Amino acid sequence: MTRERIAASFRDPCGFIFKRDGLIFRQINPAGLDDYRHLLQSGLYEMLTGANLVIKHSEVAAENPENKSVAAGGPAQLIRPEQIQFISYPWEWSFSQLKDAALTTLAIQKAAIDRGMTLKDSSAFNIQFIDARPVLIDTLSFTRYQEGSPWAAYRQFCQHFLAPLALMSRVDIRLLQLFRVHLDGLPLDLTSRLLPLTTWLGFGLLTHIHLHARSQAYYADKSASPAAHSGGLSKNGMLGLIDSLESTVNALNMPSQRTEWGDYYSDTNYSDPALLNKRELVDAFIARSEASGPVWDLGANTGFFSRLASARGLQTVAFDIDPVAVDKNYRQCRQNHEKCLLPLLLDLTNPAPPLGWENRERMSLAERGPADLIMALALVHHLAISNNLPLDMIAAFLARNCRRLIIEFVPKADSQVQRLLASRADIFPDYTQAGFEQAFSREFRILAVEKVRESERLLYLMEKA
Amino acid sequence: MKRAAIHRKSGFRDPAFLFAVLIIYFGVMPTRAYAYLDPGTGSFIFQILVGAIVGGIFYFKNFIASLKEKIARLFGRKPADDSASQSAQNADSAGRSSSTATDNKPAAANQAADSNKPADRQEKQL
Repeated sequence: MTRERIAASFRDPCGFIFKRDGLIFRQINPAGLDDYRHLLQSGLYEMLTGANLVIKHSEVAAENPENKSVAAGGPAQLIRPEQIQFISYPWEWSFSQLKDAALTTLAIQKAAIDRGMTLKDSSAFNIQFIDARPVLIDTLSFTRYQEGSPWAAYRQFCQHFLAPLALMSRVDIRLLQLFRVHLDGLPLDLTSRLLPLTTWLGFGLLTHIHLHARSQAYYADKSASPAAHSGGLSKNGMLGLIDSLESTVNALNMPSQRTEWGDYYSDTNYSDPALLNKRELVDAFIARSEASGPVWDLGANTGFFSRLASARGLQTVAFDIDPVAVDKNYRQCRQNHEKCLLPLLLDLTNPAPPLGWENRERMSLAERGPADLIMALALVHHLAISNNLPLDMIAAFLARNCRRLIIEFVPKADSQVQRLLASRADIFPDYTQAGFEQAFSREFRILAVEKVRESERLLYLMEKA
Repeated sequence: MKRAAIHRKSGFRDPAFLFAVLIIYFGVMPTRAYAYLDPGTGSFIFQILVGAIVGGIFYFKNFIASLKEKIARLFGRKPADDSASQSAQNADSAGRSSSTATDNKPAAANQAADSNKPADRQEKQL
């Protein structure tokens, strides 16, 4: 049995995660055993997993050859956490997803303090979404709380959650993408400088961002020891800090920002019968595809068609480029307690590269695939015409990332394509049904073609050749 | 009360005054640091200072909430219903530790965020 250590799991000496036979395990080193046992014995684990805040796990018998290398010498504990279908990163979340992740982290910290434990980190990467619920996946994030000690993860919380939320809410929703550059969260001095002056008037952002950033800068070149500040942070101070952060996060709302796709639904050229017909055809194609694994819906918008897959119990990721559409989709999932659906932000023409140490810490999109089925509805004309991508390059990309494909071809006669061509020369002689089928036939076998009623559009079911 | 004892121990009695000191203290500090960065130190010390203020506010909020509850009881009314947030699937039930039981603000991530948003409609997409 080969085990492959997950490249992002190197920071905590208390343990690490690895993959074996396609399953994720976590090894708890002797250094982390005391805290791990306290988590279980204090009842905190039961309480937090019962509230769906922390990932459930089962203990697994350790296989010993590997354990000899454990630094402290003693036996390690292996646990098998509930398996996450698709790892997502904060820069792929919508505003509400990041906000819920932040509130979940604070709720966990509050519960932990009550049971004599505290979160030793508050990384946004430790939160993943399971059935539209944010869940802490790092069982080793807990350590014993000693009254008087400050929250070691306070800085990280402000950088990973509060700073991006504040920038998205008060400046521009697109500023979340700064996270892709600053993998340990947004620097507070940068955040402070980008936020409008009015944010100095509110207690929360003034304290946790602006003054916090000043404090960091002030102590940056001083050898002051936190221990020198006698008295530390009382338990009441700690609860007050969590309460204050919670109020600050709660006061930040999704900005009412107009985006390209925000009004997409109202000015589409489809009549309702066409929509219903397309829905029926896509549903029939999903059934016929016999997909059993993960489904990616590329250009999912608010997930109207993604839900056809997730309703069948298929783990579905609904990707879209528009943060407003993704946020709507997520809120709908959350409101209806939907299962198997994960809305995420993705610019398909520039997906996030692998990031972090040796470019191996945070995976690219392709590394998290392939999908069993990709749905690309009303997408090809945007890639081919707006982004000048040749059809064979689109076909090759899709073939690398899925086994089966449901794809819609929108011909030039369609008003949506005419709109894209309105302001530019038509340099796309191959953008025809014949050209499309020829390009895709190099990579796929076409299993079925159906015309969407009352439109010129064609739906294809394909299988990788 | 234990909380009161903790609060007195910290020695800070006037959060407003302390906060004014903080603003002056850090408001005039330089924002650039050219030395080797240790961002942890500033955050550590800062939260000790801020903790005295937010801890005071937190204590005061709880005090007011319990006072309201006592007055409500005095007039024979039941205290504000807490069951909605406790039944929430999400954290909140866990997040509401015993020491914050008097705080009636729904802490649940989901509820809090939902209440800020217009009702979602089923959108059609093509």
